[in-house]
Formats: sequence, structure tokens, C-alpha cells
Amino acid sequence: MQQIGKSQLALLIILFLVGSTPLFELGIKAKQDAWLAMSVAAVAGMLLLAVYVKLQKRAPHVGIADLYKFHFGRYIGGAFTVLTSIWLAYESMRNVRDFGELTTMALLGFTPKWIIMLLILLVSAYTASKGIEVFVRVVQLLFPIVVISYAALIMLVFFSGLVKASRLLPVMENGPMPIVRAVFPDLISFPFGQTIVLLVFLSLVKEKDAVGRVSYKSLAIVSLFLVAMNALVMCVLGPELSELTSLPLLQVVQLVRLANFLERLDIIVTLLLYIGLFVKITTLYIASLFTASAVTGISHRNLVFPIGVLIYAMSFLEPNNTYHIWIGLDITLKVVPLFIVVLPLAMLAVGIRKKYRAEAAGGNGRQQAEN
Amino acid sequence: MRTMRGLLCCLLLLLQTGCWNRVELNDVAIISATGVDWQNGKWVLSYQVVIPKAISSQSGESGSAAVNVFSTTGDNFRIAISKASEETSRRLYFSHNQVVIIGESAARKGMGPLLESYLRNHDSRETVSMFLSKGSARRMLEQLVPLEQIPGAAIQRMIANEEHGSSAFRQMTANDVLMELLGSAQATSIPGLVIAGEGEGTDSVGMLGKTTTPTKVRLSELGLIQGDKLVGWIDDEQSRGLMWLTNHINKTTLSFSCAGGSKSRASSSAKILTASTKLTPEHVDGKWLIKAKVEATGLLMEYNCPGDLSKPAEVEKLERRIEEEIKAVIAEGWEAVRKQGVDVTGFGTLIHKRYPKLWKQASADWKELFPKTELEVEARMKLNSTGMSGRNFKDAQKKAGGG
Repeated sequence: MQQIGKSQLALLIILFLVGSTPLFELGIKAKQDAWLAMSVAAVAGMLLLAVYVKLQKRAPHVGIADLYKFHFGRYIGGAFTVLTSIWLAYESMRNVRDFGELTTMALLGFTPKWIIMLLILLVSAYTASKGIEVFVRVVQLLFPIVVISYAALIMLVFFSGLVKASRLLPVMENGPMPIVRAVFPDLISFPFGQTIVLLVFLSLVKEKDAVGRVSYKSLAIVSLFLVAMNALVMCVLGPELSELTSLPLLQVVQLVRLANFLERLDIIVTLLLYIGLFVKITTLYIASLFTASAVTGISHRNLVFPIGVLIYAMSFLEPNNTYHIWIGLDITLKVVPLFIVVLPLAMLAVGIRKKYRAEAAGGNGRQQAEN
Repeated sequence: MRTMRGLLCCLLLLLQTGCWNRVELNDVAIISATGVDWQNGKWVLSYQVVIPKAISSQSGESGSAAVNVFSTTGDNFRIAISKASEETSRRLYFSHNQVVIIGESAARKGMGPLLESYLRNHDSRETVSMFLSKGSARRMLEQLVPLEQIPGAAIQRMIANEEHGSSAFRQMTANDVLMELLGSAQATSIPGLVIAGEGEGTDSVGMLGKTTTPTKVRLSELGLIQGDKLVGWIDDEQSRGLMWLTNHINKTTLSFSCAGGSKSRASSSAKILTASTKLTPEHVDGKWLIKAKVEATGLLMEYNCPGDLSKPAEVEKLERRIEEEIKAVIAEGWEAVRKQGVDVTGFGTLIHKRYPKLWKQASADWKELFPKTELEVEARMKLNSTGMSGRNFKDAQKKAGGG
């Protein structure tokens, strides 16, 4: 039985949700109110997390697969588990593809995408094969790098006098509706709804009673950070330009010019992009592995290769970046709420079936038998 | 298994070299300035390429120019750039490009395609400074500048110097231009460059050998851009007034006359050390009134007026006099801009931020409303010091003679 500590859980939540999010100006549909949209989405994300934690409390020792089974029964629950596993692999693949697209777009213009994506996926697959414990230790290692890099970036942007808070005005120019439209379903699905993967990992935390507290705290910290980064980009670029550029944070950093030598800090953004996407890809990959392993009974190490191949193959399905983004925004976003809102709420409403109650409460007997 | 592992490690080593996307220093032509012209229905792009040999300290021989200028032509920017390989041995490298000079013809045609190409490609950076050129941009690139080896860098330093020391113009980076053109009023202003002096220009190193050059590149006039096209120019003093109005004065020297009024000669000057302008829009029966509040501090640099500056009342009078002068400078700039009807003052943006609902109605016919807008300036000047002497020199002479 693999186990992770509560502080490791906190770092995992933070890095996973940070991911590549600050690089983009999410919620730009609400124009200069993007940061308000982010804040609203963060609150909604907190409510969703409360639902997930509540579900987890019902059966503290099991992952999402068994939660489905306890609530919907063996067959329907099994079907949902399979779907969830595929969806998680798909989300992982979207990040792999993002990685390929962003790298070719902004950094290595002439390197073929297949090798870029293969390299990052190999690293992720290797990490995944070592298991969750190794992965969270890697996250612990990466965390200070991320913190220092973001701190340096933010400081330099402020020092170069690029930040003008007046770019956030006028607040709510067209009333609150644009904000609401930006939050649902876009922002709630990405990034905040992605806390659903916690249902895979929470049961692995050693300190069971701290799970809720740690998750809420980490989500609150990461939400504050994401809202602040969103507002920062808006204060530098303004609504029109941040909508126009595909990588607003890179644009911001390219504007930094200090004392005639501190410029071209793109490398920091690249570093953050790579770390963020690596954590995201690997987390979703492992979540997909664990879920698939729970439903098939095959050990997760043996699934690393087939699911890796699946992710890699899927990442070539979209012919170009426009398709990739269009599918992400117009199609995936319509399906995602099923996993992050509908199913959890249904579980909350249905309650655990009678025949699984003892198993859910005890948990241990079954877990040990399985391992 | 062991050998497999060893092999795998060796294979990985091949990937670590990072040779896939390499750019060798001796394969690239580093560009220090770019010029854009519009000629015979085509874009003409000119490049000022740095010759590394000429600027290296060991073999830097005087007698040959440090840069080489050439042009390519095409229906759009990128095709013109790609044609460069037909006449140069190296790949053009834009990451160190410092300035973009847009010829008047190209600016009147429209800067949209240029800005588009800047946004879409990651090798062109938005920190590049933009200039307009009266006449051909290529001609401007060919000019050598005394003191500096690379003219592109020299122009970049010139605008930085102007921005910090005199503030009649400010540095407009591609990013500033983009932001203003995408903003509420879709108008911006870009400083112009001219070749001043007699003669054809300073384009050979031989000419730099003399103590004066026949011509020189200088900043002159501010081009007003509406949409993406150049629509007019305002002169240096008007530009300075505009900088006062838009809060872009860093340090500047303000000259003023003893009595005020336009007839008397401006015989004295004060150095402005800090200046800030706050604008508040107000809506008064269908028209807009912008209230500007200017606060400035400075030092007296030159004083050719009567009056004993050791008396506080006299200094206060002087401060009022300078305030009048600031108002006059601003009024001059404002009238010029108003006549052209191009909102480079940022008033539109200001109204948009303060009165979003009213702006919705105003934005449609802002072009008509803008010239009707009234400006009300209030200035506060504080002289920190009157310098190391008291009364004016001539005054003192007279006193000494009389006594």
C-alpha cells in the first residue's frame, strides 16, 4: 500500500492546480473582469471540493473506483470507472499536446512535435511506473524551484514598472453576466474542477482526519495565487492584448527590461511551463492508471505502458493547434461537467448502498485483501 | 540487461546535445534596426545588419562601417524577409533588433500588417522601439551616428536619453503601440526621425573622421496614428505639451519669460524634476470636460528677470509664473491634437474607465466628440531651490555700480 503524507498532499494539490494555468489568461471572456471570474470560479471550486471531501469521508480508505461501486453498484459504477479512467487519460493527453504545441510555438520552432511529446511522456511514464510515493517526492523537489521562479518573475515585472492597476477598470462594465458566463462551464471545469483527481489520491494519505483541512487550505492558497497572477497579466497587457496573444505570461515576461541587462527572461517561463505541465501530465496519468487498475484488477505498473501508448496515440488525433483548442473549449468542456459535477452530486444524493456500508466504513479488510 | 542499460544511456546522451534546433553564431546575421517602406504597391523591408568583425575590439579597424544595409521587397512582410536569403549568406536574426523605422509612405498605408507580423512571430520582440521617418526609412538606416558604432543602438539610446532628460518625446515600444491601438480610442503617437542638415547624409565612415558631420539623425515631430494609419504630425513643442498632458514627463527643462504673454522672450528656465498630471473627466450637457491637475517640482536653472530671490514672496511669484507657462505648453499641445482630431491624449480610455455606461454611447461618434472636448488645466509648481546664487547677475551688477 503506497502512502503519502499530508504536506506532500498539499504540495501536490498546489503544483497540480498551478500547472500551466498562470501562463494563460483564463476567463478572458469577461474582459478586464477575468480576475473576478477567476475568484468566483475559485469559490465554486471550493464548494466542489467540499463535495469531494464529503464523499471521501464516507469511505476514507477507497479511491474513486470503489466510491462509484459503493454508490451505483458493481455494473453502473464499473462503467463510470472505465469512463473516468479514459477521461483522465484524455486530460493527460491534452496536456501532452499542449506541451508539444507550446514548445514548437514559442521555443523550438523546427523540432518535430512527436519527439517533444515523446520525451515528456517518457519522463512521465517513468515517474508513473515508480508509483505515487516517488512522484510526490519529485513534486516536493520541484516545489521550491516553482516558488522561487514565480517570485522572481513577479518582482521583475513590478520593478520594470509595467503594472498599471487602472487596466482592471472599469469593473463589471457589462454587469455580472459576462463573469458568470466565463465561470460556467469554462473556469469551473478548468482549472478548479480538476480537483476531482483528489478522489483518487485522498485515500492514500496517511493522516486521514487531516485530509479535508489540508485540501481546503491548499486550494485556498492556489486560488489566491491564480487570481493574483491573472490580475497581474491583465494589469500589464490590458484586456485586448491578453485576449490576442496565445501565451500572455510569455508576452509579459518579454516586456521586462531592467537596467539594460535583465531582459529576455523567457527561460524562466519555459522552466515553469515544463514543470507545471510535467506535474499535470503525471498526476492525471497516475490517476488514470489507479482507476483503470481498480476496475480491471491489473496492477498499475503493468498498465503504465498500455495507457502511455494510448495517451501518445491520442495526442496525434488533432491535426493542428486550432483544432486542439477548439476541441478543448467547445467539446471537452461540455463533457467534463459530467465527471466533476454531475456524478459527484449524484453520489452525494444517492448515498452508499446498504450492502457496501460495512465495507466502506471498515475498508481495511478489503484493502488488505486486495494488496 | 546490463548492456541494454548501457546502450540506452548512450542513446540518451545523443539527445542531450541539443543540436536539433541549434543556431550557430556564425550562421546568423544580427539585425540592429529594421526599416519599413511602401513603394510601388509593395512593402520594402530594409535591414541594418551588424558586421561582427567591425565591432570586435581586437580587429576593429576604422575605415569600414560596422553595419551593412540592404532591402528586400514583397507583398507581405514575411515573404520579403524570406527573400533575404537570395542576397545574404546568413539567416536574418531579429531577436536583437532594437528599432523599427516606418517610412511615411508605409505609415500612411497602414501599420496593421507590421503589428500583425510582430504578434504572430516569437522571434520579433515587442520591446523594440518604433519610429516614423519623414521620407524613406531605408535612408535613415544608412546614417552613421558619431559616438556609437551601431546606428540602430544609437537611435534607441537617443530616445531613451530624450525620454529621461527632456521628455518632448517618449519611447514607443511595439507593445505600447499595440496597446494604444487596441485601446478604447484606437489612436497612438510615434516619434519621428529626420535627417537634419545640409547634404545627402552621413553614410560613410570617412565622413565621421571630421569634427562635424554634414547631416545627423534627429528626433523631430510626433506622428499621430488613428486606426493603423498616420494622419498627421505635431511639432516638438506641441509634443512636449502632449507629454505634460498625458503624464509622460520625467525630467524636462521649461523656459519662461519674465512677464508672460507670447511676445516677451523666454529668457529664463527651470529644470522640472518631478511632474505628475491627473486627469478627471466630467460630462457636462452632452460634452466632455477634462480637468487636468498638474503638480511639478523643480530647480531654477537660469534667471534673467529682475526680482530678489532671497525674498519668499518673490519665489512664490516665480512659481506662479512657471505654472502659467506649464498651462501654456499644455494648451499648445492640446490645441494641436484637437485640430487633428486624433485622441492620443487617452481621454477616450479615461472616460471608458470612469463612465463605462456613458462611453458606450460616446464611443460610436468619439471622433466628432473628441475635438469638442474642453480641457481645464490647473497647475501647481514648487521650486525646491533657486540655485546657488540670489539675484540675477545683471541686476547685481547694476546694484554694485549704483552703490
